[in-house]
Amino acid sequence: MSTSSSSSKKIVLKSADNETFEIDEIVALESQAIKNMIEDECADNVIPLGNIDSKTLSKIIEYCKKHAESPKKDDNADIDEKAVEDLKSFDAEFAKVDMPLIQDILMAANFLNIDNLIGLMCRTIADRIKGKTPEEIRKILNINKNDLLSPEQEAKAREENSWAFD
Amino acid sequence: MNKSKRAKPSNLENGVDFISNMPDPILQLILQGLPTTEEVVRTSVLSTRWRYLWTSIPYFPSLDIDCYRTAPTPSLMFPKKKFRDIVSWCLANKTVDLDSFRLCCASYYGKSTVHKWIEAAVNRNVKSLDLKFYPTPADDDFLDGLIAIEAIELPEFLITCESLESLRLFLYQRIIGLPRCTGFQALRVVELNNVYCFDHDLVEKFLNKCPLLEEFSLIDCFIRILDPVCVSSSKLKTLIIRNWKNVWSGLKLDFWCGLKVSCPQLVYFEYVGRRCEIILEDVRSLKKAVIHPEDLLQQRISPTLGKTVSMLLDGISHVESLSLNLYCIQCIDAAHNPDTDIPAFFPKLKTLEVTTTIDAFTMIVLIRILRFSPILESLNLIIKKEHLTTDYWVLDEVETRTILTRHLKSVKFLRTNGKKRRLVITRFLLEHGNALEEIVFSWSSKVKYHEKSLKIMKKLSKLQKASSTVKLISVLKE
Repeated sequence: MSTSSSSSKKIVLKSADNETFEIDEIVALESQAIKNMIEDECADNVIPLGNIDSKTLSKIIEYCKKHAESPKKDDNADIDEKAVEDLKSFDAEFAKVDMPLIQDILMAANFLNIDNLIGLMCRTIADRIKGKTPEEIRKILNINKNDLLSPEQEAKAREENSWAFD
Repeated sequence: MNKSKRAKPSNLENGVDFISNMPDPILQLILQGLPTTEEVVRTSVLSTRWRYLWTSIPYFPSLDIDCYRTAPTPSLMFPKKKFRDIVSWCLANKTVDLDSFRLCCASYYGKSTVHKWIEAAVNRNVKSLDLKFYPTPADDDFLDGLIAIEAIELPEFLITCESLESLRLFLYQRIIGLPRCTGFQALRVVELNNVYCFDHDLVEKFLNKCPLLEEFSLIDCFIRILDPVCVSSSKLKTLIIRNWKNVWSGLKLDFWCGLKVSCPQLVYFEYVGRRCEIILEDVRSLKKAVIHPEDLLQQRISPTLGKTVSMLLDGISHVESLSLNLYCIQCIDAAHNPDTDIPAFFPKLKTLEVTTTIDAFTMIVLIRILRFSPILESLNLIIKKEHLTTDYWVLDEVETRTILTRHLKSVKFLRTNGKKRRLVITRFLLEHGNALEEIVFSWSSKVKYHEKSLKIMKKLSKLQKASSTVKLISVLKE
């Protein structure tokens, strides 16, 4: 799994469907939640992630690996522009997945507390609903039909902010 | 995607409203990613979960509010008070910095309201301002035709704003009034759109106030033709002038002196619009130039005019990329003696884009330019009319061949329509261009692309080719 030397410390993550992933500690540290666990020394050899399936987890590891390898912004004020571009295009490619997977990744990123990834997924969702009608957005996001506003409530909401509706 | 491999059925497939179950900060992040402020507000009707979510966004990192978008046909029905309330609400009482503020409010509000909004944005350390407005005119500043009487004064707090990096103003043909104070200390990008530069040195005054300015655009601006506009700036890298209109149109001038440029750091220069004399005093760093003068009246082009254009090209002969329109080509042709009047040499030119007809006159000019461009790699052609026979293209065949065989790597036909005669050029290029790497047909019409592209590619693939690696590409670019 890892590309760096075998001497570096390894962390094993276990998905909901009992698949295990061995990764470098440095990659795992991209997750603030795992970082806290390691610092508090309450991480066992294997960290079970009971609410993340293996498909989502492998995507998340792919993301963390790439971001762990790239130079951090605060390390050096003028980091390589090429590295920034490279990371940008990686993010753009990474986000080209279907909405169910985006939501799974977002939920997992929120659980693992990976700020950059949360931001990336939120931007991706915003990109997919921008310029769409409320009806289309409900469909894209699969918003619960039982939760809709009543016709009167909706009319009132539109009236309150009539400047924003065509 | 192989869905059977999934450990559990996804939330969406399960029919679970996953997103609404996410915590508020996540949903707020999504809202903040929407490009316009109305879109954010419109999420209030998605469901009860989303009803008031937008009002709790900790801050709008950028605001984009446009009365035309909210009311496509502005009428008496425009919800003026609500619109004002929302702009004020979005801007007010927030301690977080504002990244960008774009506001279009036409003439719905008076000066004091608009100034209050600008001030609110300034107080939030706005970086980018894009304003489209003119204050509701009072009864006594009646506007007479194009000549606006009252200037739109830029408030002092805008000039002295230390965070402002980019300023775009669309002022409905009004005059700008600048206060005397110095400022614009961080400003790098300025665009003036539809501004009436009655004050002939407005541009100079503006530039003097912006010590760090890198990009300056004048779009659809009005100037007086008697005074040339001087653009002189030590840091400027990009200068764009499109469609400026002159005020004294009654005067008959063949070629008025319109523009003087002295910007030693300038890299990109674009002039599109009414013909005028452009004097380039210092543009030693220039890499890319777009020169598209026009003459809507289609007056005769005199040899003097031709020489003026040739001299202009001479002054930018060190560029790497050049775009010329048909009018330029016709001017060079009118200079009568292309051998001496065409710029002697384009030693660094790598990319040439030309809009042209194909006839004996324009081809003489084009082929001469090609001949004087020893390292040209890409030629992009937008062909307007086709009176084409091989004779025109091959004029002076031996020489044309040498040009093509030397280094031309890429030829693109932009906005192609698939007329048969264009293939004559392509055939010639394929037969002789042994350094060619690609010939690209770029289509602007979807219908024609689907109708003709495949056929043409088939036909071309059968032709004899001097370069074994040349690629034929056909793309749709709407």
